[in-house]
Amino acid sequence: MPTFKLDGKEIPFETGDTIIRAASRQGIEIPHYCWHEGLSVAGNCRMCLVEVKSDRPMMLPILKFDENKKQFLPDSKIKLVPACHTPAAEGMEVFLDKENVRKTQEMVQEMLLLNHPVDCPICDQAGECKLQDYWELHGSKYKRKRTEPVHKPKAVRFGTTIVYDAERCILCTRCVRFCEEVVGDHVLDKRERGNKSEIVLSPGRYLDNKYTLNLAQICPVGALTSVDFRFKSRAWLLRSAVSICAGCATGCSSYIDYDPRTYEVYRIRARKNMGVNKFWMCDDGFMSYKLIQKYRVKNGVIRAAEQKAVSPGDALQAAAKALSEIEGKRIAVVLSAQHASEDNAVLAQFAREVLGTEKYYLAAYGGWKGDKILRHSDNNPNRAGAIRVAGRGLAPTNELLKAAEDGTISAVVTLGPAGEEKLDQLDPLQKLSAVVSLSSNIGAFTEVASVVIPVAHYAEMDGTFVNAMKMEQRFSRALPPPDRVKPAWQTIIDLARAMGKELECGSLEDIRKRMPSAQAVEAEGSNN
Amino acid sequence: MADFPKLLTSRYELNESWLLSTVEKHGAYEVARKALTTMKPEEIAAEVKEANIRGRGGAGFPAGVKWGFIPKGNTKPVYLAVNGDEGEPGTFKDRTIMERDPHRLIEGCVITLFAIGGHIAYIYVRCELVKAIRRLEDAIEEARQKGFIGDRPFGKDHKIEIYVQPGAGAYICGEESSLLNSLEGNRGEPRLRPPFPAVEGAFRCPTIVNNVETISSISEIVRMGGKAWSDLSRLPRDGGVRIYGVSGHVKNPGIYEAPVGISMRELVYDLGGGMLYENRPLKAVIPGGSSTPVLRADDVVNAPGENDPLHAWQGKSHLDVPMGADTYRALGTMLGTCCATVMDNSVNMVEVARNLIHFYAHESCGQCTPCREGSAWMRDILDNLCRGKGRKEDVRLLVEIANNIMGNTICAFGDGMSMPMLGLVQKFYDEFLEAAKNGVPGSPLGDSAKELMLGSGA
Amino acid sequence: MAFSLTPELEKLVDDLLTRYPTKRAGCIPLLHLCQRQVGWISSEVIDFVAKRLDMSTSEVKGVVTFYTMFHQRQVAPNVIWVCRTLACEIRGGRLLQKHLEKRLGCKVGETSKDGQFTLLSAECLAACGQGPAIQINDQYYENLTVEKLDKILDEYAVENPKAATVTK
Repeated sequence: MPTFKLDGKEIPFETGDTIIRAASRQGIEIPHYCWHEGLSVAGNCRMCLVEVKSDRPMMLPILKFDENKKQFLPDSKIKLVPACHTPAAEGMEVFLDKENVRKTQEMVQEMLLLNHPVDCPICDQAGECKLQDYWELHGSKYKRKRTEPVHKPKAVRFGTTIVYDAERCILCTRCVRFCEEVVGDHVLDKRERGNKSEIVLSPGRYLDNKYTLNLAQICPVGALTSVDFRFKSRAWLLRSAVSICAGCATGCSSYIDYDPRTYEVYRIRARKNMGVNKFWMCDDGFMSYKLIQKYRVKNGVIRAAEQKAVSPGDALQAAAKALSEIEGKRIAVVLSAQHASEDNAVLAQFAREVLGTEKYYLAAYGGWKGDKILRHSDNNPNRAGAIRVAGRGLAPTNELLKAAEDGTISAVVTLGPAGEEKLDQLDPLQKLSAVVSLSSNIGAFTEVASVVIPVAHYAEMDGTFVNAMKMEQRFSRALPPPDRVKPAWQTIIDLARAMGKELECGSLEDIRKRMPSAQAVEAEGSNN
Repeated sequence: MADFPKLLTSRYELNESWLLSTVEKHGAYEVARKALTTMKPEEIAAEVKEANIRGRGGAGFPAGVKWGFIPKGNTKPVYLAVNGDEGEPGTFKDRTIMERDPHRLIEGCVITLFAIGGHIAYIYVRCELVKAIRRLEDAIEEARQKGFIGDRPFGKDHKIEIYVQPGAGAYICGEESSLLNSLEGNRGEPRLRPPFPAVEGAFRCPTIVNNVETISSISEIVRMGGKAWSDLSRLPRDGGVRIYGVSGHVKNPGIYEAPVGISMRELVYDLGGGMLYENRPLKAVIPGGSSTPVLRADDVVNAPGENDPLHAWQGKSHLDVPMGADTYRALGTMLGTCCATVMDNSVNMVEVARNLIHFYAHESCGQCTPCREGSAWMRDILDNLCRGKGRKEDVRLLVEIANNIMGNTICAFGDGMSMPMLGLVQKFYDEFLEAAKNGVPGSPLGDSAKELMLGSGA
Repeated sequence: MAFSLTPELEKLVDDLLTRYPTKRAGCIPLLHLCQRQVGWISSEVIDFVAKRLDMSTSEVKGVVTFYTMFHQRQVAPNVIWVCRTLACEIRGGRLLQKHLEKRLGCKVGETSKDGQFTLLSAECLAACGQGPAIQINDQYYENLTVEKLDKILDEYAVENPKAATVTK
């Protein structure tokens, strides 16, 4: 691989790499605002200017004050080049750690703050703002401009999700380029010129595409912020846990940002994964953090003559008792396209070894409108995984309703909050002697169940989703589950134990080892 | 007064000089006919290269060399974009060509398109120049009627179309990549280079961007041959004649054709008729548009070294150095458009800086940080200095800002505003210190302005 | 109300669009045509241009606001541009502007009380050798003095009685 030198350090690069990209790949950040790995090069912030060694450097005329002569005399300086637009070349020597580069960065930094309101105490970006970071690194000077800053519109609603503050904006145009290049929706542009410039929304429109919240994430300053996150927390109070989005079969990589003192989740952010979602997520994915804490099942429920909230353990005992009274072959199991493969694998094992039933179904949401960017038309994160670990065909839930209607089954154990059917469509299940629902969230199944046993949300457990591209994606526990609540696979082992059967599952690792590999189920999985 | 032969402006004084019927009697399109019917494109390009004509738009890049940058083996369409967005303060020469001899420009376009293998020329004219636009459009129509442009100009199988594209009021569109963005219907923001326009310009195709005067010179170059054209100049590597302008405090402001390499003294005192008021001598002159650093009337050349490009003028006034791209660079300024703004000693140089920085702050496209923020910051500082709200350290701050804009912007606009600011501070430092102390009281841009406007009794 | 061009101007647009390999290259000339018809660039005009050229309205808005010759607000039937840049100013441009402000009874950026003139400040009009210069609508007036300017406005007032009240 060819290399160039950055402050003496060898940096390997690929053909077509710019200096900044090659350095970034080595984990070296050349200061920048407008450059973004996933967008075209704008070169407008001028923060990434570096010196490149040359035999015939281009010299520029400047002035220098001569303290003896008490006058300005001609001087010269080497012309710098933008690292974001300069291709890396073999043997090139690039300097960041030089007086003239530092001075330029300081001046760019100072200029970006000339008209900035410096309202960090009320700015959501504070703590993760490049203006703050670079001010400490390169600036740390107070304002030398003595005239009134330029005033521009503040708190402009660009739509239901994004607020724009033109005074904080540094006009890097990342947002304009994102909408144009990633979404294909030229809804933003720049208006006016000079230091009156600001970002403008298409007259007659709102920022209403499905990817708006990426803007809050890629805006390097506090100009574009999320309406949802606005004024809710401070960035430095939050910790980020690595996760996967469960919104659809794409399985975007994400961060779950939570407050470690309360474990309250504040937002989800997109995490770079070049094989899946690159740098982005859709708005539904961003907002799916709400499901982690809202509409949760935290206690067990036993519905007899009257509904009773009980401890998860009591619910488990009640379920075990009810299921033990019914012939195993007449009990159906419903796997879940929303649950981890591990949960589904243990439920399938439960069906085989404890119940001995042949009646397997799969609960999956009915899909949504997909697109060619990230949103898959299957809005279930793990349909492929559930099918894969079942090791057999899974009937859809409408057949479950038929079986309940026909009387071919007497009871059912469901995983996950719901399938395609709405609550009123589930009436046939009322005929069954027992409906045991294992779910983290309230859904149609929990509403019709005779016994509800709470289980962990996917964000509260280690697990695996298999996305539409048949990629097996592991995720790990980001948050603790509610008190006394365990992941579904552990709950099912407990349920078996309560029914007097020991499921020989072993550890999570053992379960995973027994899950079929991607290739083995490729053909079968693709029928969905 | 020196009397130079007229080549580019030879038809200016004719009655209705903008009509084809007028200028055809005086040789219009003779060269185009000859070029398209008897010459090969490479021959024309070779003449232009030999002519050593430096771009007349201000940057002074050799036009023949520029034409050679179109990639070999190119299969895309090639465009010619003629830069008629004349807006550099002090500059008013291209307008005269477009208004008074539009056919010279059109003939130049025809020859150039043939030479570079292009079929379409866009003449980008600032929309304020309504008269120029109308005359060009009419002239194009006349030439089309005559078969000088169209599918088979002069019977040659080389389709040529020429269109006038109006600007809409943005100085930056005179910068070649902004001009292309504007031509494509975008905001006139400069583009990152590379790619250069000759490789990827208008509509992502190779495009040659030349100034109106440059293209208007092409017919004379081809008529007399590159060598003969080059020899018209008094200087090496900088050939031909050009249109000079002189404005400000001279007796006869206006435009004058003369060889490359006349001195500023000739321009101001011979062509311009000398200073307007006998009692107010020349103080300073901005040699070629506002972006070129100012010259002081009382500065003398200090080039004792024999290898110094200015050694031949050792001890002479800056005004006596010939106006050439290389000589003026050695003087610490730039030749620019050769349209000089002459200022007598009633003018305060801090006010000059303030006037110009208002222009630059207003015209900065706002794309990149140093230019967008720096121009307005310098404007505020100079406003304060002139209003008596300045501080001593403001002068140094001004220089620090300009030093840091220099070279750090996407296009040359940043340099174009820093250079004059640095030049003014360097050469008139005492005036800036005085302004920092006391502001600039009295008639801001001089008694001459007042007298011209209100008469000497004012 | 939706904007549309008069049939004569619309014909010009068709011809215009044959000049370029892309539609949007017609943006600036088309905006000029629209402004010629209604005097300024209203949001209806922006919608019209965006539709006609397959551009987004934000792009058209960006273009309109970039260029000073597109009026973003309604202006008087006559627009006076006074050059304020160096070559004109050292020959008295600023005094000319002050005189105009006094005579029209409005500041730069405003419209005269009779609604006939909008006074605007222009950057270099490329008339430096003939400074000070102003532009009234499509016409340049050069080598001006206060006296000459008064004469021009007087003549204008005779031809346009409506404007006589303040231009006298």
